Amino acid sequence: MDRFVRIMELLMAPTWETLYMVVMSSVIATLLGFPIGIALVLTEKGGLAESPWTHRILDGVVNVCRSFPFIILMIVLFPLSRIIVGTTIGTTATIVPLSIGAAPFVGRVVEGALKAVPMGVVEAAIVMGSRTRDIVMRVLIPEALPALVLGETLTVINVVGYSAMAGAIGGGGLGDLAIRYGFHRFQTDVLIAAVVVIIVLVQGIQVLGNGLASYLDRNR
Amino acid sequence: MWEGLFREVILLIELKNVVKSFASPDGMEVHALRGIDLSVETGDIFGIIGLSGAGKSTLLRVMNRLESPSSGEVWIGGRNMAILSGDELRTARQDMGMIFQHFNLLSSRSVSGNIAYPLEVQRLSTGEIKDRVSEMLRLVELEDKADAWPSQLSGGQKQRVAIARALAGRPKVLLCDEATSALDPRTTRSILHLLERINSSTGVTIVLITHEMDVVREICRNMVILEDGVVVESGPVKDVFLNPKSRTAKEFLDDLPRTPSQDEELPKIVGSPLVILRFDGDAADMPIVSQAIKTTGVDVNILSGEIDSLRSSRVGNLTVQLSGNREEIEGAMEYFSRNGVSLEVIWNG
Repeated sequence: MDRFVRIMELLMAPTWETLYMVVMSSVIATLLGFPIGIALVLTEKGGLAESPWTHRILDGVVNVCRSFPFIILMIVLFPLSRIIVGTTIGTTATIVPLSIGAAPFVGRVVEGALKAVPMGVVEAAIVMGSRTRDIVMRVLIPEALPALVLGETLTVINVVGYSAMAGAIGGGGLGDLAIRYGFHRFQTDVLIAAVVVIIVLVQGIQVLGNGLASYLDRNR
Repeated sequence: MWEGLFREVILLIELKNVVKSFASPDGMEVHALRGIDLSVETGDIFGIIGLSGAGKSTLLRVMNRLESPSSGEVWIGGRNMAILSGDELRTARQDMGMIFQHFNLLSSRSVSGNIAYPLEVQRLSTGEIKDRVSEMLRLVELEDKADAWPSQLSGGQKQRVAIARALAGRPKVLLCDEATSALDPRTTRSILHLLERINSSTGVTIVLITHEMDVVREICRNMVILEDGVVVESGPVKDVFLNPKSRTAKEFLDDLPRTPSQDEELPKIVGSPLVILRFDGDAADMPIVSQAIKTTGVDVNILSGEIDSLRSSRVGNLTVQLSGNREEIEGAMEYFSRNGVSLEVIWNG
């Protein structure tokens, strides 16, 4: 029983750290990635602001960022973390690579969701004399909202996974706990407890996301 | 000078030598429109008919610049759509409404929200939008569906919402892209009559494309027939109907479904069933009706009918009323069936 209480105590701080990292990184990644996704859709061939070169460059940058294994990206971005946060160690420092790692993913998710809006609906908006801004804000985003919510859910879950990885190189959080106690000190029960918390976290996020998406979908 | 002014007032739409060619994926050049000249008078209901691939959809989309013509002029209300861009094009488009085969309503907005969209785009005030939306709902007779969602509506209701949305911004022209092709015949008629009513009450010019001759016959005053990107026939609908010159026109007239007269116009006498007799091939050439009268003693009152040549065979239908005693009537029905005539009893009281 003592052991149980002890593990619970051990879990408290890292769980909060993970939540903090995940929430902050997801928000920043979304702020960075959303415009990228919109730009990808607008600039593509036949898009509302067709621009082959802009599209090619954006597409390339997104692909390059996404090809980095996250752990490498983190190391590469250590200098950036130092500039922004002042350190490369700890949860706040980890938010930098987490956000930048997830932003291109958000970009792709947004691009996919917006492209799924039927062309006919967009054409209807065009022939009513809409500005591009109106089409994005009043047509594309509202029409794609349930898909965007599901995509965002996927992003947050991905960030949970990345944040656990970040623990391996001094990121803090549940991943760090699992590696320090479970791997280095052979305390398997702590490892399992950390994994269980992560599983519960991921399940909770998915349930929340699905629920919100189907609520938004209720009248469609 | 007067002639130019006159043309501008009378002719709302004037296309001059409009050409549209695409590069197909395999590098071939496809000519969708090969030099279209066409004019539509203000207030007209104008039909563009053609088989699929004739270029009619492209022609309609050139009018509001969903497609840019490769060359030629597209004059709509004194503006050449072919050369407009940016804000000028946007405002020009606000003078034109469009409805589609698959309605293209916003699934994220209610019926009212959909109708409000073009008004929001035109930056009208909330109050103005509200008034105009309820006015439009009244026009299309959907006041009770203001807060419904598109997914809860039938096809006909969705098209009504689309019409309300297209007309909310008081456009001069309504373009209809196969607007009734996804609807059943009855709904099609009600939508066509709505368009007709709106045309006469608001004076909006309607241009519609369709592959159904029935649609043109029902509401259009003038029409063109398109074949391979060329206008092969044009003029008032009744002239084209009475004197079709092109192959396509003749084919379309042949395909017209023969509609039996409406139920309610037929006399209903208890004990005298109303029957549609349909015959084709040999039966059409035999004196079936007089034989039936002679052999069974039934009385046959012919209410309507037609015999038509369709390609090589002849087909016909007759709407008749059979009277006599029960034996005679049953005998006659049996006689018809035996001689290759299909029977449809439409009323039996």
